[in-house]
Amino acid sequence: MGRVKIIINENGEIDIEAIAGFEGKSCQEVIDFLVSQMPAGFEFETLETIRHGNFAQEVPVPKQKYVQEN
Amino acid sequence: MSTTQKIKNRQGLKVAPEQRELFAACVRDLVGNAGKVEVSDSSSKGLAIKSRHYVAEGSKYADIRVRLTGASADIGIYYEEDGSVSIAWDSYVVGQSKALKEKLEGRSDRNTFEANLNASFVARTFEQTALENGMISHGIQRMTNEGGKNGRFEIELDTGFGGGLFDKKEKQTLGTSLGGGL
Repeated sequence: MGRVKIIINENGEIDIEAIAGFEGKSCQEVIDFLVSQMPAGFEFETLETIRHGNFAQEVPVPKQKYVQEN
Repeated sequence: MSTTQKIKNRQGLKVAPEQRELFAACVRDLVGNAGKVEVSDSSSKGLAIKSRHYVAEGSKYADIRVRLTGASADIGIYYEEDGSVSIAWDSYVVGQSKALKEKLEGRSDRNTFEANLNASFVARTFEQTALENGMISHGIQRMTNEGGKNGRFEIELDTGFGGGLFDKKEKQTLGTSLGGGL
């Protein structure tokens, strides 16, 4: 069973990590699916640069990452 | 004389009407044992907040009222018509909360409270969305970052997927005939 960890810091930056149980790009598909199911008002950039669209942060582009670990 | 008045969430967070219950749960979680959280009935005009100062018109009744332990003033949280969230915060009184400082790496200022509330709400929304889609949550935890100056919210989800199950295309199979015709 694929497990993901989602980390949200105080600046609104979001990291999503695949931590177990995924094969190939299946993690990407799952995260894509999850993000697509979020309520209206939540908008995200591309999968690799996921961020919470409700945050109108006036700060430099935050650290955003997407990693898949075996 | 100073005035206590609501100020819009500086990070631009918006909360839809159907997400208000979830947002209130985030406030309760964040405050925890550091104080008392009351949520207004949506049909009422709100909960009157108390301050050392004059409370501005339009800020007198909050949708969520927080009284931190030992404080003599309230934090007022308000839903605006456009979905944004405002907070009225008497920093002199509220900012002295020892209990809140213990939860937030020694900080008890408005910005820290707001930033943590926002992050908590995003985490909870991820969790709720996952649960609605058959995933399993191992809960949300607030962790202190390395260096001990601020924190983050973490959530682990068992997604139930892992082997490309979103790809519903059937596999191509070879037929038994190798062709050749008549």
